[in-house]
Amino acid sequence: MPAQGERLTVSYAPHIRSGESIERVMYTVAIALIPATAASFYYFGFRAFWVTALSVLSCIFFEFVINKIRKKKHLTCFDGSAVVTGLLLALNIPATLPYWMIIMGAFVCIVIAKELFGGLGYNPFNPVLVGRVFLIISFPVAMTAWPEPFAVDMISAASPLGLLKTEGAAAVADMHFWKLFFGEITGSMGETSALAILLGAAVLYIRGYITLTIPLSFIGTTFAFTGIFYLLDATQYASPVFHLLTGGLMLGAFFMATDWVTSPMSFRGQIIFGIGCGLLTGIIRLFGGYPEGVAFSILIMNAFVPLLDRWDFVALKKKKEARQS
Amino acid sequence: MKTFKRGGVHPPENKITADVQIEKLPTPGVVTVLLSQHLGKPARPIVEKGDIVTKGQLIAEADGYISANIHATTSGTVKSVGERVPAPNGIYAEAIVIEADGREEWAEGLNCDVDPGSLSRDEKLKKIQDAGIVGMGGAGFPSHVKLNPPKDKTVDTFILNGAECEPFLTPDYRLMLEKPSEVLKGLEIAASLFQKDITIYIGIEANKPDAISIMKNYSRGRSFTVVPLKTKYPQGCEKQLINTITGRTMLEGQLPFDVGCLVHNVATIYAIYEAIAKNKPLVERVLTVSGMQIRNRKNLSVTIGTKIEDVINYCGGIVGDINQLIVGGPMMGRAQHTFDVPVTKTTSGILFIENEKLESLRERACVRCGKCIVACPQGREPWLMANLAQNQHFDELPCYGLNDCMECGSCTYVCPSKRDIVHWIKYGKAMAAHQKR
Amino acid sequence: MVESILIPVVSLTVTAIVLGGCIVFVSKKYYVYEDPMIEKVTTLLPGANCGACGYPGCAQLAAALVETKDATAVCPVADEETMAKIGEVLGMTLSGAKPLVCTVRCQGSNAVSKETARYHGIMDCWAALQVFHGTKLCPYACIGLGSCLNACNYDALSLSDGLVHIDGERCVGCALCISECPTQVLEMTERSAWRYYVACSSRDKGNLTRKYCDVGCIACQRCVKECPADAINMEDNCAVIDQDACVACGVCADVCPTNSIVLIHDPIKTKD
Repeated sequence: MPAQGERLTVSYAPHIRSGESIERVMYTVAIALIPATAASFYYFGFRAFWVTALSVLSCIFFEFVINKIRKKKHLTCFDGSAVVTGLLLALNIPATLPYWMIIMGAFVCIVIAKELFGGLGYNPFNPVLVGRVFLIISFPVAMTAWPEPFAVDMISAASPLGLLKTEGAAAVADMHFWKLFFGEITGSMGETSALAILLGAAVLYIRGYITLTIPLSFIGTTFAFTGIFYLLDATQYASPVFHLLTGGLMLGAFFMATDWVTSPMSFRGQIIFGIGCGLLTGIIRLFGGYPEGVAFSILIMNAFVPLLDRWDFVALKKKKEARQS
Repeated sequence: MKTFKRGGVHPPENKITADVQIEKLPTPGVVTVLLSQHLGKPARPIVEKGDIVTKGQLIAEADGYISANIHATTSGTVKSVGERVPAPNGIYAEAIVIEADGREEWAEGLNCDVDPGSLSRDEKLKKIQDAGIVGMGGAGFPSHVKLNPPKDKTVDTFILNGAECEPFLTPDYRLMLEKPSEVLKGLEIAASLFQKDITIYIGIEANKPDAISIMKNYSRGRSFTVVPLKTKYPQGCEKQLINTITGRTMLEGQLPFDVGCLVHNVATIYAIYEAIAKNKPLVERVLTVSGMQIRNRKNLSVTIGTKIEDVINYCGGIVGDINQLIVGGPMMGRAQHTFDVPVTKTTSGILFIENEKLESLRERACVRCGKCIVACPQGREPWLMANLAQNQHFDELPCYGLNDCMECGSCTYVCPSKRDIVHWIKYGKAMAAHQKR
Repeated sequence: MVESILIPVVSLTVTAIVLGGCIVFVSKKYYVYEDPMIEKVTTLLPGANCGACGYPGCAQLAAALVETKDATAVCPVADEETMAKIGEVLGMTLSGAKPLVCTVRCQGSNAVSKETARYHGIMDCWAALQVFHGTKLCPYACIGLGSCLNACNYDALSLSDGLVHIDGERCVGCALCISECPTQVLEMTERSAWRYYVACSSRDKGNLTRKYCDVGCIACQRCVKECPADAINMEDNCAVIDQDACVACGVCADVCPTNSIVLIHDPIKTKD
């Protein structure tokens, strides 16, 4: 019998773990979102800061409430995933959005899209995008009231993609690509600056938290799809570079489509996922009723993820053999 | 530098005892020799309580072909036969307890020099079988079976496994440094059981440069090729070692001889040398005592049957709070529930660890990050097997590679959700087998 | 105005009639004949779909009974009366199985059994067995992590203080939990109003059992000697009471030095 103070604990191997944890991952993603968040403060002023703060705090609050309702012994609201959801939600909405709508969006993201399915790891759809789509469909006017950058009084103007949809390719033909790249355009808080997003994505890539399979296949497909139509008729369709740098494509491809819980696990699955997102984005942007299609395309492809995961040829063959024997 | 193509992780090496010379732990007053220290049926005792035995005397016979002999590891009187004692695998097992007389008297005919060249292949195999030698890297597979593959399998490559990829463990390293000629003579003996043109490799991880150079020096003029291997866990696992050195891949269910290879651990080869050239059955082995919670960390040559309590006393006692006693390495070793466990033929290390974060380690849901898939050396999907086992879908598990899993622990090591993936897979294996019945 | 109401009403009514006609046609064309007796028998059976009879569900057992008229296909959960009624419907005599109840042959709760190390891992008995024999020193004890609870469809099993307890009212005797227990401390026995049994499964000699647990059977054999009906035997260092011979006098429980013998009042049988 062990002596006092030397009571042993038995566990199964391995008895050492790497330092990786949910908290470390989530807070690293939050750090990777700092460039885009900072760019939004720069372009859209103080209100952007309040929007971000409210979004993050509401997400944490709702997750805390659900933790308590579920009588969880260990709170998950501080593990960083609510913080990331809050930051991403803020980057997906215009800086002019009324505060009560932000709180509703956070509620949908956390309670409906994540916790009702069981919490982190169980949700089939990207929570931030569910929240964004809920807001778009419920409050279409408020969600398209994009402020101009550096505007003092938050007068809203059309975003480049909005202009493209309503006025046609001619209206956006002479937009400077550098402006689009750095982000001095109207749009949601996070989608404007491609540079800031790429900086953040680089952080995640270096840390090994994302692979480039989904972003490159997503962006590549959209580029190719819009490029084909641009080549066919440059007067009716905008250039593919324009499409790359506007709207939520960069943010969606690097931060939303790569969300671990809602993306496929296999390389083949990820390529199909990226191509599907790219095609749907292109179709919605060019031929659909909405000017922007990234959110919808990712959500639709999220629905295919369980199927893509099951498409493991080796396992399917073995199951067939097992059934026959 | 060569490495295996898929997966692997890099746990901190902690080879604290790398420069500690092997010391002999004096045989304690009582040795507890388990009847099952190998894969296969336990040995059947052939002595009775009260019998006087000499060191190396056969005290239990192998039960069948896949089994191994058990010998008295010291001279003395048999105190009990078949007593149930705690075993390193966590379940009680039967043992023969011998009260040592302190004289360490070898049995007649043992511990004398023999010229290996004078023995035929069958004679050598019989000696290895009689000596009760099993795989001392941890698996415990009887060596005479391993060295005698079915007639239709040709073995053209023999690999000496000097990788020692587990953190903390250094017994094979010290053996290679201190007894290189014996190890290589043992390798020659083992290789001589096969065709003359067999290719012989010695695989050593790059974190042991002096072992690589000493083996290279002693191999000069002989047909051994020393292969430095990239330091990556689990380089020492058979499938990975064969893949690294020969490029061949073993499919599910295959054994090394199916791809023409044979792998043996350094300690096992040393034991084969002692059995054939010195007429010594397997009665002692080198192991590493390490971890932060033991006063003196050492590499010890221990008489099999020594209790861990005796090892603790010899190494100066436990320091501070300890909550895990691990037999083996930290990645695949077994945590013990008591200090009252004896050393067996397959004990390569004893670790004393204060795993402070253990109690707060809580499993969360799988976040599908895919790190386990990247880490898995077999290229399977550990997250899926763990999830299926957790949801009680045991019949689907074999289709997803359940039998491919060697429980190396790489997946669990990297999981950010702290899931006990290997434990779920082991649970899945047990339930799948239970349901089949 | 009238048209704006008339058109939808007429069009929807026509659609409804057409679709309804399709449904009637399909149900008649693809009608599967099912013996109405199967339906009758299914309603008579308990309806828990527990699988204890060997068939996946009550409907399948009913189908087997009707088609093969096999008298050995018995529902272990149904009582004599139900089986008799089913027998009437089928035109054969069916006897019910003897009502069984589950018992735990262990009293090793955390309060009385000595513990070894702490366990950190998956909270399931089979999972714990992969690591070691359990947190209790006794290798034959109830591991107390509740694998058997998953198997019970009737909520008859519960865990408390590291030991499984059985609710005699809820247990129907389907025996699905028996194979779920890795150490086999669960046992099915016939129901009787009062029942004495030895609540220990230890196969070790008395001195070892004493070390493991305060209430284990130490094989002292006092109960064997004192039993007036000669109903107790030793099996592998543990006393076992033969329920057929036992007269439930309770002398064994009185003389047992470690209180290993337990009395159970069966809540269902004692109502009769």
